[in-house]
Amino acid sequence: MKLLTFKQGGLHLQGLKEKTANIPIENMSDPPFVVIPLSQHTGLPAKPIVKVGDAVKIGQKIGEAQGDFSVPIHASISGEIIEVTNYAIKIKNDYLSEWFIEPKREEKTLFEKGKILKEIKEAGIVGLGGACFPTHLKLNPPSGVNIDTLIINGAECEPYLTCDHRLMLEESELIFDGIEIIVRLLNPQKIYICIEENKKDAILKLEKLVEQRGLKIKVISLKEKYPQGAEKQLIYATTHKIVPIGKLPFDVGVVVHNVGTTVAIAWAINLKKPLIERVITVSGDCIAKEKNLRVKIGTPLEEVIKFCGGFVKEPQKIIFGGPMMGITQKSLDAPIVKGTSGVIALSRIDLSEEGNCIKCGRCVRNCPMGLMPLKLVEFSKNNEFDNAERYFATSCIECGLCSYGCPAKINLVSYIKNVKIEINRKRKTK
Amino acid sequence: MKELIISVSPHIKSNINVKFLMNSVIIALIPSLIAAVVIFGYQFVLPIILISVSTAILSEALFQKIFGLKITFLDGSAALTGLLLGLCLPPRVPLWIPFVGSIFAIFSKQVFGGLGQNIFNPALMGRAFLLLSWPEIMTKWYAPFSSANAVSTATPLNIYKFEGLEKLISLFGGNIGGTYKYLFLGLRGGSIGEVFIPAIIVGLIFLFSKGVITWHIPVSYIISVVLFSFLFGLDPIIMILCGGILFGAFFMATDYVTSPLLDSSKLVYGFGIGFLNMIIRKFGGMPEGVTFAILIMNMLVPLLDKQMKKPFGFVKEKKI
Repeated sequence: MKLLTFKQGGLHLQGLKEKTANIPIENMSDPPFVVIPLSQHTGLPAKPIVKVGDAVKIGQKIGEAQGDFSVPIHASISGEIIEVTNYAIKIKNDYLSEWFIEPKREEKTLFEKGKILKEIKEAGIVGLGGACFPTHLKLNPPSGVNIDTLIINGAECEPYLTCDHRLMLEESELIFDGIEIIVRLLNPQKIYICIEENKKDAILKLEKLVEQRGLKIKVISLKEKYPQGAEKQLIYATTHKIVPIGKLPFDVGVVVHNVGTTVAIAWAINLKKPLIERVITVSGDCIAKEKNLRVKIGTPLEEVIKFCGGFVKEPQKIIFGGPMMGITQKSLDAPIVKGTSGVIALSRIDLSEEGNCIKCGRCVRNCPMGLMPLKLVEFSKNNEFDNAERYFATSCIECGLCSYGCPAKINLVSYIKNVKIEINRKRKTK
Repeated sequence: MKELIISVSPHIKSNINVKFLMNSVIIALIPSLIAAVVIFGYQFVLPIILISVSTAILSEALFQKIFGLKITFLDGSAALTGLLLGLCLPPRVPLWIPFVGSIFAIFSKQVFGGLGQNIFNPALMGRAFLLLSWPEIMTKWYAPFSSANAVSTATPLNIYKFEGLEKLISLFGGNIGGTYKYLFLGLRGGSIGEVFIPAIIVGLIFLFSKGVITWHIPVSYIISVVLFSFLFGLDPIIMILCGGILFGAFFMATDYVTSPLLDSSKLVYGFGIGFLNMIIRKFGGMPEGVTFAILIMNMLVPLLDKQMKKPFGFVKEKKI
């Protein structure tokens, strides 16, 4: 069978997933304290509704959403609030593990749409693939838009990461529960679960379950190619629909949700459990015991590392997320947030100095958005932001392939990010 | 714990670097060099190559020092320029020729600001400079396997141009098939690296397998040569096998810095080189034209690079 994939650019990357792909998800013991940032989503940060000294229980709301483009945050452990700043709320664990509302499976009732959406928002759910876009917005298309396709994203194309893979294997039932809820909201005609072919076991398992349950869901094997999990690329690979520049998947009648998000939706609606924990992959050559962990949101990085046996080598970089798009952390105090799909600690980093561009064209060939990254770098260096805009700088999805493949070791992404910031600033002042 | 590095993603990089790319082309040229040593004699070939390569590296170091540029003379690009220049010289030039040529080649690159900035292919600049300054030395060819005191001979292109196809066939193999075979196996006068076609093809296959070059420029160049050979009433196979077309199409015209960026522009570029090459061969005063065809098209590259690629999801704005 011919495997599906996107058309333009992209690269087969070394997966480096074998170390954790077969390690079942382990629940990490609760940390002595958690630090829960107010802004774990795109949009306005949550507003604290607790003060120092308050006692909170697991799942209790501690920050209110500010407006529709925001989501609330919840206490992930029970204990005492010991610090409230403009950025985060710190909770000291009392180890009583008391729930605010004990999660339990409710009798299935047919909710009205508005109520489901509200509950998803109240549960603080954001896209767990890393984009952190509030999920309730992606489940609420503007009126007049007909969604015909739902895509559940299990591509997990970033090297090292296997948390979605494990979720698909271990919580397949919840994925179907989540899909059911999404279907109730969007009523799509076609439902796909898309998985890269390197996760054969997950593909087979989900296919079997779909057949057993007689569901109208198609499990699709995708070619192993980065960035297969990027929204627009995945939509093209699955449906051959092209999302026009500057438009959203809504505009072509498609909605994409990550498998982790789908599971979180199931928890929230069926068990009334807000987003207080997530599954992460802890990997990289510095980690003693590489694992897949279910951790409480706000757990300090240091505790995660300790739980994985500490470092065997001194790390040069610690990355939240995958190595292609993840964010480096400057200290072990950093807390795990909703968007953290992995913790990757690497000891060997290519620190080659930036050389001269030799115009080999690899960045152009690799770019999945069909851009000309080296031109954008040139415009960035010369402050030619209008030209950069003309060359579609704002279409860049920051997948990192241009920098990855550059023989002159130029960090093209950082230049393009700069240009995008300038363009957005100009658009705002206009 | 040491301080952690903070940086923009991505945090992993491919193992391809400039040195790897340059070295790949150097490796791709080795079969041609070995063939040249066998055909023209090591005592003539090796000193020329040694001088051209070492002079190129040394002058790169010197220019980088003088112009205050980043010191990168060991990244393989200077060595490659020297090797390319050496391989496109006649086999018995005096040794000051590669010396002067390499200096000029590197100068022509550094004067624009070094690697990545130059408009013209450095090796071809060196060759063009030598050809225009010392035309007599630069057109003295020797038959393969000839002795140390042999007299110079004409190249097949010379014979074809000035004495006709019959004369060429009678000198090489006696029938047209035989001529093709002679030319394919490099049993003719010519530049050091250009004569033994099988070695050039081996080099090309190597470059493809390593993903160093794409097919666009060589293929469009050769198609254009075939097309214009027909139009000008010349034998296309002889045109391809003679002179430096294959060597130029695979190793010179594909130079990243001096060729266009986009695949579509590469096709135009290759086609243009083939066209100019055949114009020079048919109507010019010289029998060969690879060097100048490529250099002229080099000038058009900044223009070709204005071509913009349509991004994914591009929709033409509807006119109201």
